[in-house]
Amino acid sequence: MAPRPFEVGAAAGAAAGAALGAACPSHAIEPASAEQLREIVIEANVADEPLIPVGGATAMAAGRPLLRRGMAVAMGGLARIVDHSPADFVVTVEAGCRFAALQAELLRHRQWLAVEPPDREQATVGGMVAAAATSFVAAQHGTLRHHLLGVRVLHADGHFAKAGGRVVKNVAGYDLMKLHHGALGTLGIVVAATFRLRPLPAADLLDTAPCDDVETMAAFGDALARPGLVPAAGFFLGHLRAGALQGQLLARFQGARATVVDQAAAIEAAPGGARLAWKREVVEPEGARPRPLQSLAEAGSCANDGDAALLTLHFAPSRTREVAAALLRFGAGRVALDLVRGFGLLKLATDGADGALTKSLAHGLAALKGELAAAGGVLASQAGPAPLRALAPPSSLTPEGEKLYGALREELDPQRRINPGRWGA
Amino acid sequence: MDLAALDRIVGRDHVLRGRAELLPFESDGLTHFRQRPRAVVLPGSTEEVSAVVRWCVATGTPFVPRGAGTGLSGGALPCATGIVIELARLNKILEVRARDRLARVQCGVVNADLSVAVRPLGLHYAPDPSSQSACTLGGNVAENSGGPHTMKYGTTTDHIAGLRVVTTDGAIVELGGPLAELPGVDLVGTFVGSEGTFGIATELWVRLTPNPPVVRTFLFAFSDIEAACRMVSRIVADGILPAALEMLDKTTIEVVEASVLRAGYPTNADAVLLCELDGVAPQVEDDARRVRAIAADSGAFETREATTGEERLKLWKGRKGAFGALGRLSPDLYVQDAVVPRSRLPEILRKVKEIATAEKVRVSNVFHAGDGNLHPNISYDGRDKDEVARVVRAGERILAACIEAGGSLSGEHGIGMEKRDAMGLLFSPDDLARFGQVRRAFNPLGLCNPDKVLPGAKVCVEFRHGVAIEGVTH
Repeated sequence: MAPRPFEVGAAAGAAAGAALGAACPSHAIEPASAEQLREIVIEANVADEPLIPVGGATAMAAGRPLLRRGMAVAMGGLARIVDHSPADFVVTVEAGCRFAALQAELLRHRQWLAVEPPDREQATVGGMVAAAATSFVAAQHGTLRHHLLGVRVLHADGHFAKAGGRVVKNVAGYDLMKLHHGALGTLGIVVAATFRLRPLPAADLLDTAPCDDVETMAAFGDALARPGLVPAAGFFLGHLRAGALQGQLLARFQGARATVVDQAAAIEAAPGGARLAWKREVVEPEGARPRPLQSLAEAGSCANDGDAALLTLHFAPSRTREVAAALLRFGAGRVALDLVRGFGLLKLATDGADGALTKSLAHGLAALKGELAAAGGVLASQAGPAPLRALAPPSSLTPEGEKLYGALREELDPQRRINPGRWGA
Repeated sequence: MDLAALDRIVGRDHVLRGRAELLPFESDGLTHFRQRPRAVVLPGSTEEVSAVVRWCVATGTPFVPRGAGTGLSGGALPCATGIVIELARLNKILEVRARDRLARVQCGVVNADLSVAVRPLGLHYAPDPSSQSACTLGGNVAENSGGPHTMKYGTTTDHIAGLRVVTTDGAIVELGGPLAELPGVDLVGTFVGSEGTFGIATELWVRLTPNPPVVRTFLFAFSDIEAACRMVSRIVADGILPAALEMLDKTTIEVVEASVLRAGYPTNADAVLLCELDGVAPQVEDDARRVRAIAADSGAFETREATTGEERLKLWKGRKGAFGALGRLSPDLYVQDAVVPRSRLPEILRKVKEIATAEKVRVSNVFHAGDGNLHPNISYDGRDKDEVARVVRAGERILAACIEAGGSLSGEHGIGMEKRDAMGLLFSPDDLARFGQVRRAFNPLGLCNPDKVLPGAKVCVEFRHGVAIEGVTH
């Protein structure tokens, strides 16, 4: 178990390297077991060296910048599926297991972990938990936090602890699953996680139509909220150019065969939908993804695009028209708007340098942030140059919330051993 | 204790101090444990809650938040040297956003009242504990309450978007809010289920759920409860996700039918399985066809579908009122709550039966079969000390058996005072230490609902029927 150079040039590395900047780890170590990971943590305590856990390196830019350079801990050696109980629809898996590998195994039993992250091939389960990965089927199934039943965590003092369990309903002890979900490892390294599974849907239907105006987009969102429709996803996916948008509407339905066909027909016939050119595609659990789903995944990923900045929009679905109008005025980037839940991903090309934003981009982002706030929403960032991150902070915690987080950090990692600075000092 | 200071904060009428006034607050729904508080304070706003908590901090007074007091694990048990902060006055629905499927409510709103209020909008609040006509949403947050329909819709934590919290030092903090996927550490999810030990949530952003267009409710009767359990596993294995899968055993069926509830359950059955399917018509139709086929194949001797809304309500009234009906069997009822993996239900029910026989106690089972969430209910006479001791022992043995089967201490009632000393059965000292650290981060002085959830502290409570627990003051 000897450290090796940390490869920032690999597929995920470009973004990671850019995001980490001067604090980018120079070396990585890859434990083959939880016990080896524990030894690494203990040695790091002796050497006073920060540790940067790395899964699929798809969310290395998430949170705030690292405060200290440390050693990357590659979690890929902890990739076992520890226990899958098909009869109970529960699986326990080590953190370094690739999400795609887990789904492939579950598929053999016609089961799945009912989320669809942007980087499904590359992301690891532990990384998805730590970074609170979004899901493109959250409208029906929720995000990963809804499926997380238990965690095993290695804390900064070198002790393991667990919370939750392997049953689908459990209120014994505090819900530390939620605490670690999205904590970016700063409150402990997730070593293994247990998830609730769902049966694979009998049918999975994607329905898309071109869309180039705000009203059609907003009407589509309204239609998806009508009684009787249960979309797995409802997105606008497209590009913003000065004063114009160009893209497509995307509805996805999962369930009984007759149901998904009925639902697709209903959305096509909804006000504003009848004049659109709809295209239905069956989504197969195995095999190539339909192109629109690939585009959706690309819109939410920076892993393979080191020059991209990624912002998130959080808004009330009832304010979609105002948000869309603000985006039009902003007029740049690639956007994926979850019209059912009020969540958006805005991906911008940058020059890749951690320098100043152009005046017009800075002005545009400030205006977008203001307009979103006026509509009760929030603009945040997941990746991008420092000035952009400062303009759209990655955490929505209030100062009092930050104080609570600080108290948690002080209790669980007083030396700031793991990911120092990622969610604040 | 300077109650005049509290009078000044909330008004004299809202500070209860007389023996008779305090009596109803001596326990929650778990009446085993009783303790009279020094006073009960009823604040009328978040700011008043904050001021009361600040007074507690300044005077070193422990405080216990309380909703409707329907909890079943002693989570709202008062502390002898402290006060109870009763939140019933905070009972307003502040805002409903139908299009966004959200409501902002005060913590004292009764669970069922919210669903009634938003029904004209085609919405409801999904978590539906059996006590929903009395329990408050703030209490639900504290306990992460479930209910029969959590199998499909999840527990409270899945339906809370944001909280206004009075922290344990009296600060007012907004956590989360009415927006999806807010970035940052999930303090809302961490707070939910903390059993009143992390602070007091005074306002909640709750997610509302559209009323399903179609609801179909079935009763399946079995002459063998284990066959009924196997049907549950088969339904789930077949890829069907019912809204609810609830089981009642023979004893429960008999008492329900002998009571005013009279739900129409067949009294010659060893078990009744209630299965509710909801959703859009083609999906429900397809599921119903498959569930009927599984029932026939699993040995159900009667299949009945509620054909009217009235029939459906009657079936559910029997289920939700079952705990009350069990009062017919004996003066006292110990409602146990544990979880096992669904596939282990048949063997654990056998084990419960063995334990009941060995301890000579009467156990009836009514439970959320779809979630593996058992409620073995032990009927007893609290005046009989020997019987009480056997009840306690049987309860402990049942819990141990559930944990041995890969289960957990509680599916929905919480740990509170009842099970805090059993936490070591499920969690290692390291696990418990970690829980303690998290609690200390939220509750550094330990004044907020002390002694609950985690083992360790010795407390001063009277165990109603004379079975000793810790008897030392803290």
